[in-house]
Amino acid sequence: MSDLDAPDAAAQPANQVSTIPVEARPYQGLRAGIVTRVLANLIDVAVVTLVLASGYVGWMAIRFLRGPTAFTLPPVSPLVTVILIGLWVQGLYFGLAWMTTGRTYGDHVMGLRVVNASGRRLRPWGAAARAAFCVAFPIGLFFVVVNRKNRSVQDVVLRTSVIYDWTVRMESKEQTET
Amino acid sequence: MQPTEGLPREPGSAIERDRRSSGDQGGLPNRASMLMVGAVSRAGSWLDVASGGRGTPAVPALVDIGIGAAGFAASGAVRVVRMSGRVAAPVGAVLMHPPLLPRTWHPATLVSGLGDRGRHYRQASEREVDAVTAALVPRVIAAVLDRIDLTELVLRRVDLDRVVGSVDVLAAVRRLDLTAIVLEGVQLDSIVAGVDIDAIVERIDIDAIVAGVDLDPIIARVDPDPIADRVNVQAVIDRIDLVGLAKYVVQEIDLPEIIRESTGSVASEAVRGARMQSIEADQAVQRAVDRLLLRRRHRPTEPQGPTEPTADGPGA
Repeated sequence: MSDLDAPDAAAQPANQVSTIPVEARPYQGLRAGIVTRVLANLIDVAVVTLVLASGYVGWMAIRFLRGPTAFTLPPVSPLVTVILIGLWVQGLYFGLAWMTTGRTYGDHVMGLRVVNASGRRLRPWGAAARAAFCVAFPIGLFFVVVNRKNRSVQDVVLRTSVIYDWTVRMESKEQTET
Repeated sequence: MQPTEGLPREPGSAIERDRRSSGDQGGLPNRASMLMVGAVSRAGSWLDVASGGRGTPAVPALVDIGIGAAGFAASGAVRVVRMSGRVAAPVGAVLMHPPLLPRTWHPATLVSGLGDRGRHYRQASEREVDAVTAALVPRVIAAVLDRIDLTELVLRRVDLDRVVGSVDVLAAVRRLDLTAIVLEGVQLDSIVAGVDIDAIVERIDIDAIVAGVDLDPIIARVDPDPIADRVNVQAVIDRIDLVGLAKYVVQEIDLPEIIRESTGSVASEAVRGARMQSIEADQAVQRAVDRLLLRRRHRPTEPQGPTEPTADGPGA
């Protein structure tokens, strides 16, 4: 049975079985295209928006509890301030996510993972730099459309990649690697 | 010559008829004379055969007359003696046992002693004759057998077919240990070495033989447990790539798919569908852009650097 002609058997460690659907296996490890990455970013924006809204609601609740009689709905900060806070939250969110699991929630939903040039999880400084770059220059994502290697401007500059990876945990891969 | 003790005593026998015809009711002297005459007559027949005749020589009538006269005289003498004995018996008794004499001095005692001595002498003589006969008979028989062709005699005189027909051959064979006879007397190795077994096997229709065998009762009598006990299952397992086999089976039956179908939620199915559709959308966009940019080569989308081994697909 050593010459089993199993599907992608050569790509699998001998003691593990793939949990990825058969139709998605050929794409695993390839750089993701613009559609998937945009959808992942939209989800992340929604997450950040939800965080900001939750923070605003929480802040209102605290103010209400501290002075219910004198409570009035505070005016929303100027749009620039809101955007800056949102960008800051999004950058923090991106950096922590890529630093720890290699994927944001949007990446998780869409089956993506951010890796460095070695194919491994980003280091803290690399994750922070990429998060800042993505927040400061989001339009760089669309360079994926024309780039031959499906790389955004951030990917080109920081030598990172966003790949299809439907596996659940990055740790299992690193354990396998060791 | 037959011994006198073996003479026929039946009323219809020839000796008995001769005895009657001669007016004698028996008696040793008469029988001895008859044997003597018979022996002389047979000796004449044998001499005739030895001289080339048929064994029936012509006996002159004078000889028979002489024999008859001698027989008559002998029987008459015997009668006279017997009658004299009966008449003289009382006188003889007195003479043999005279009165007034001690028994030791009686003539009867003396005669009795002579009788005992004669009986002892006779018995010793018989034993001597038996010993001489025992020593002489084998030599005589050997000499006779040397002079005759016994085989030819048997062939001429014996009805071999009748003898063989009366033999129970099967009973004789049953008493034989044929296996031991074959093992000791037959060179089986040389016989087997000369047999062309291949030719024999080629002539055998093994398929027909097997087709005629009812294997069910045979298999029903087989106890598989002892056979299984002798099988080294561990050695068999050691030769099998169980991990590879399990992986092959799991992948062939797509166990993850089965698990997902049995345990997955609608949300996971929706996510999976969204992911696949987005991938397809990515491919479509790539092809469209490449077509617009007049790119002919396929877009290499594999990341650079060492391939990361993953648990579920090619490395990153």
